Parts: sequence; C-alpha cells; structure tokens
Amino acid sequence: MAEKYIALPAGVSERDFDAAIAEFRAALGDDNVYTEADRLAAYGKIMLPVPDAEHAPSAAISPRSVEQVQRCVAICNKYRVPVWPISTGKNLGYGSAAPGNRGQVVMDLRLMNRILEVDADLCTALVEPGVTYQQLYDYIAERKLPLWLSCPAPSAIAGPLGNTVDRGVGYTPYGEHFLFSCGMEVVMPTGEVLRTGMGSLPNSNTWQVFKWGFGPYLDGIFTQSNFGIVTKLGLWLMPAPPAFKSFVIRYEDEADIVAAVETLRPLRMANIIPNAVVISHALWECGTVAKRADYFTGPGSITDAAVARMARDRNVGIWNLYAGLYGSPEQIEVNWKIIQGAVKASGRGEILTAEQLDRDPVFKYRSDLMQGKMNVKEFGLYNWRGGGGSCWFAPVSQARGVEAKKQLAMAKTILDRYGIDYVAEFIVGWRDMHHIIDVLYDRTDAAQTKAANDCFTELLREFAAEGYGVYRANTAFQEEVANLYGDVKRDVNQKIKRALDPNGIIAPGKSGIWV
Amino acid sequence: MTLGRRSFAAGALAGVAAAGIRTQAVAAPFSPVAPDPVMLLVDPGAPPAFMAAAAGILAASRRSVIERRAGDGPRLAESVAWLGARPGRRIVGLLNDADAVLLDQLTRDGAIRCLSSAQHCESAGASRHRITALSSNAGLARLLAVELAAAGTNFSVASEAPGTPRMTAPLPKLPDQADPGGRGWEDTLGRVLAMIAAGSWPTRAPDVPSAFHGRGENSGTKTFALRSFVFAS
Repeated sequence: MAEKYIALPAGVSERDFDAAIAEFRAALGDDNVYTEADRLAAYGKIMLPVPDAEHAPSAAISPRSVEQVQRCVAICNKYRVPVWPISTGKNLGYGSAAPGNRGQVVMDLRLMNRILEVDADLCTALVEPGVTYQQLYDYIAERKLPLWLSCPAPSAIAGPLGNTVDRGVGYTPYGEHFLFSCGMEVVMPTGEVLRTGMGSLPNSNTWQVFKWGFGPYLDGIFTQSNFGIVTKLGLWLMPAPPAFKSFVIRYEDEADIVAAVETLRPLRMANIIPNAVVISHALWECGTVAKRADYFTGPGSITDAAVARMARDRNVGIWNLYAGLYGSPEQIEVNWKIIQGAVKASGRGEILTAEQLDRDPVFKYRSDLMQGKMNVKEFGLYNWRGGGGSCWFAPVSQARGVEAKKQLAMAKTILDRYGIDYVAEFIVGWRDMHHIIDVLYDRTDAAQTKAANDCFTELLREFAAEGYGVYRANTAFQEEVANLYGDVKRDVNQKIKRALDPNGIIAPGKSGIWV
Repeated sequence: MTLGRRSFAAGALAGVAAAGIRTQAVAAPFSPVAPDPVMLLVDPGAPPAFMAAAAGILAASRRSVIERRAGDGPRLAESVAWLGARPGRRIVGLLNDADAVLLDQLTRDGAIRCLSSAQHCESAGASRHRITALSSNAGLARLLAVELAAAGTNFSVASEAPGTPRMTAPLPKLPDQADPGGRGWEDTLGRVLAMIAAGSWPTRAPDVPSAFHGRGENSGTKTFALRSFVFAS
C-alpha cells in the first residue's frame, strides 16, 4: 500500500499530523497545502552528498498573507509541527527548497510576493519574501526609476529577502546585502508580529532609512537563524550612477593571487574600487561554458596543465579579477588612472576593458552582475561535471594575498585527495574575502557522492583547524559547522531559541540551533 | 514552436507490456488521459532515439506534439508558462543539468506536478541512472535495468523514493517472457515517459527503493549527463 505521507515530522503522530493538515487546509485552502509525492518532488531536490530522504518534507504549505502565516504558526504550536520557511527557495547548493531535517513542513512564502514600496528619492524598497530580483528589476525598469539592484549569481529567479536573510552577497557596491538592508517585519514563533528598527514605532516613516532603531539591534538574530519568519524586508537600492566602467585584470599564474589581492585591497578600502570584486579562477570562468570531458578524462582532479590549456583556449587568465567603477565620467577617469598605476606598479596582471571584450560572453556576464542586471549564466557550472551534485564550501579569509594563497593550497590539496576539481572564486569585501568553492560531483555515482561528503567534512575540519570558518552552510552540514563555532555560541543561540520558540516549531536545526 | 508527427513504432507497447513488471496496483490504475498537446523539451545534444521514441508513442495515442529544443532561460520559462496556462498539459523532457536545475526552479509552484524525474550519466565506461520513485513512474527503473542488461553494458540503476532510504538489491531473475526490446535505454526511456504523459502508463505504489547493476562492456569514451522528467499541470 502507498504510504499516506512521504514522511512525518519527528515526534508527531500520524493522527496529530492529519489534524494539523486539516487545519492548514481550512486556513489556506486545499490548493495551498500539498502532501502528495508528485507535488512535493520539487521540495525534495537537494544537490547535496546525502540521501534525499534525509531532507524529505512531510508537506508544503503556501500562505498568502501575514495573517495566514500567523494562523499556520498557531497550528504548528498546537500540534508541535515544525515548519521550514522558504522565500523563493533558490538556496541552490545550500539545500535548495528542501527542509533542513526530514519530515519538516516547508512553508513556501512565494505567494507573498508584493513589492510594497519603492522610494526613488530615498532609494529604498520594502518587499515580501516571494518577490524575485527579476520582479523588482522589472518594476524599476517599467517606472524608469534611476535605481540599481545588487543580486547574487542566480539573480533573476532568486529573491532579495531570502538572499539577504541568509547573508548572501552580490557584485555591486551594495554587494554586502545584509549591510544594505534596513528594517524587517517578523512573525514570531508565538504569532506576534515584530517590526525591527524604527518600524516598532507606530506611524514611523524612517523604518527603511535608519537601521538601528532604539535599544538592541535585533535584525541580525533573524538572519541565518530560526527565531522567526521574516515577512517583510527593507532594502537600500543604489542610485544609478551617471557612468559605469567595467574591467578585468587577468593573471597568468596561480601564484599571482598574492599580487592580485595586495593590489586590490587598498583600492577597495579607499573606495577607489567600490564594488564587491570577484577574483575568479580559470576553472570557474570556463566551467560555465566548457565540458570537463573535453579537457580531462583521467582519474582524479583535473590537472593544472589541463586547466592552463582550457584557459588558453577560452582566452581567460588563471585568475580573473572583475571590478567596476561607478560615478561621473570625471570621477571614473581619476580612479581609472589610479588603478592603472597600481596594476603597473605590481608588475603583474593585464587590464582589459569592456571596449576590448565587449563580445566576450564571460566578460558580459560579469559586467552585467556588477550592474545588478539579471541573468542565470552561472547555472552552466552544473554542466561542468554533470550528475546534479553541487555544494558550496565558503570559508572567509582576511583580504591578504598570503591568506588567499594559503587557502588556495589547502583547498586544492584536500579536493585533489577526493578527485574533486577546484572550481572557485574569491569575493572581495573591504577587509575580508569570501572564498567560494563549488564542490561539483556526480550524484548518480555512489563513490563520487561519498567522496564529496568526505571531502566536505575534511574541508570544514582542516580549515577550522587553521581558524577559517565558513560564512554560510548547507543544510547537510549545518550541525558540523555550528560545532566548529564553539559551545558558548551554541549555548547562547539555544537560550534565545528556548525563550522565543519554546515549542521549537520554526526550522529546528537551522544553523545547528535547537530547543 | 513546431508541430511534428512521427509514425507509430510498431511493437513499442507490446515490448513494454512483455517486460514482466511486477508491482502492486493501487485502486485507480490509470492516470487521467491528457486532453492537451504534450511538449517534448529536449537538449540539442540528447540522444535522438529518445525524442523519436517519445514522439512515436504520443502520435499513437493521438496526442499532438510540440517539439522544442532547449536553448536558454527564456525558452525554458516560455515552456513552463505554456504548461501552466491550462490544466491537463504535459512536458516530457531530457535536458542538461543546468537547464534541468533552472526548470526545477521554474516549475515549483504547487499547481505543477512531477510525474517522473531521473538523472542519467555516462562516463569512464559505465552508465548510471538515478530515478526518483513516484507512483506515476513505477516500473521505470526495472525496465531500464532490463534494457541495459540485455544490451550487455556496464550500468547501475538506482531507484530512490523521496521518503525512504535506499536499499540495494541484486538484479532479479528475469521472467521467461521478458522482452527487453533491444532498442536501447534512450528509446525505452522516451517511450515510458511519453506513456506517462499520455496517461497510458499505469500508476501504482512507488517502486521499493532498489539498485540494479550490470557488468558488461561499454564502448569507450561516451560522456553525457542528462536529466529526464515529466511535468503535468
């Protein structure tokens, strides 16, 4: 006999779950509550090197309003049913739309998709969780507002609220997304609605302009956490600059990462280069358009020689530093001279501009991202090796060349041990770098899947031993990552969780936080 | 968008029926017949046998076929918009991983159902197939295994149910009357997915999670990674 449910939430009887589902249906309508396997299949795709069953949902529910979210929260508390909230559900390589643990109910907030306000003078916006970057981009374009977005690589289909509360990043001067958010509305586990910052004051018109409000700054505890369900988020949008100039600095050797970072850091900190810069390895550059089998069919990781050949074929550097200048033509001209001088003084790197590379699709992709334009080209990485496996390993480092070199060597050594290729880039902030590595593997190959799991475990352990933590974790490894940040942090998080969510109904286990 | 009709491949249905699939039937044995056209959405590099077989089955079931080659994001978005425009429509496809991931994201809207999903890869002389076991595609994993075994190739076929962990099982003894068809796994896959879309593949309880393996020889250097699927509105 077919089972009624794919899975049940831990600790919830089938009878109680039946009752909860009936109440969800009464609150949301039958069309917005799914328990059938063919409708839940979309919420079970994880790309991670663990069995799908570990992240199988018991159901998915789609509320349309804050009031419906509150009703769902009440039902969850009544029956102790845990929910896993998602916004647009595009956390690809971090767990996608699947719940963090088997049997949780996915609360899909995609139907809450209103752009509530865009203020072109103050350059702010207020959005709901289901709003996509494409939707916001189109809204701005239709009204000819002089505003730019900052989006992550999956841009068009991802959402600003979800990306920001997971502390994702983009590639413009507003690329540190959480930094450029302002004000949240949160449905608490008790069902109360909290507005953070100046939003707590009735009739406030400064909710989206002043971050801190009064007293403790609470926005942070609702990011990468399970302390509440964010139902609105304020964003700061970049005023469209009068002019923009994109360029790439190509470096021939892997060792040039030192020169690249040391040249870039002072320019970033002085805001000469104002955007979140990407230093992309050749394998990432080429991996979006090339097939691994065309360059390497041997066992183990792709060799440096094969990567070098591919880079020559595709006319990219071993490192490719993408940056942009924003401002008036006069400002850009001044800063451009400074950059040219700095690169010349370093003795390494070749600068190429949009005028020289206008037809290069890889350059155009990067240039578009630096302007907050929508595209989905990065998905091409999934064709590099094929087989549907991808999980991001993303440690943070200081913005120092020697640190980048050290992390590069560590990563390649460990990846090579497991036959995984180094597909990576550094995203450079003012003082930090996010070292983003895509562990790509074939999920149809059991041996490769195990290797990817073992590799990820070793990467976490070895990098942590050197003091390097990740800035974000996928749902299969969030427990291990939480352990690496120590007992005191776990205890504090748990105390907050117990105080705010005593029944443990919101995303239990997210970031290793449990009641 | 083009319309195409292919001649009915004689014996296709007979070959499938004779494979001796034994699973437990549920009370409602057949999915509703799709009254609308079926779209075939295929990667330009996909094996031609897949599309030919699928189109043949759909023609035999008197479904008009919209054949579309996947190309880019906007084309995929248009295809999903077509699917969602009317209930009863189906998309049958075989795409590369990047397009398949994007399509997954575009079809997650509650109104669209996944009737079949599978990953197919070949490299280093072995093909591997990983199928999500659903009631709509019950029997697909075993049939692919039969076809691959009959071809004497090196392969694995794994069937995973979304809610239960995977178990391994040896390749079962084939019934005497099993007819592997001998047309290749791509043809078999195309036929079965088309039958699912057309409503002529019986729904049953999902396959028990299992894994089939065959040891044989694959000719040299073929490499591919593709995702197959059937979506329904």
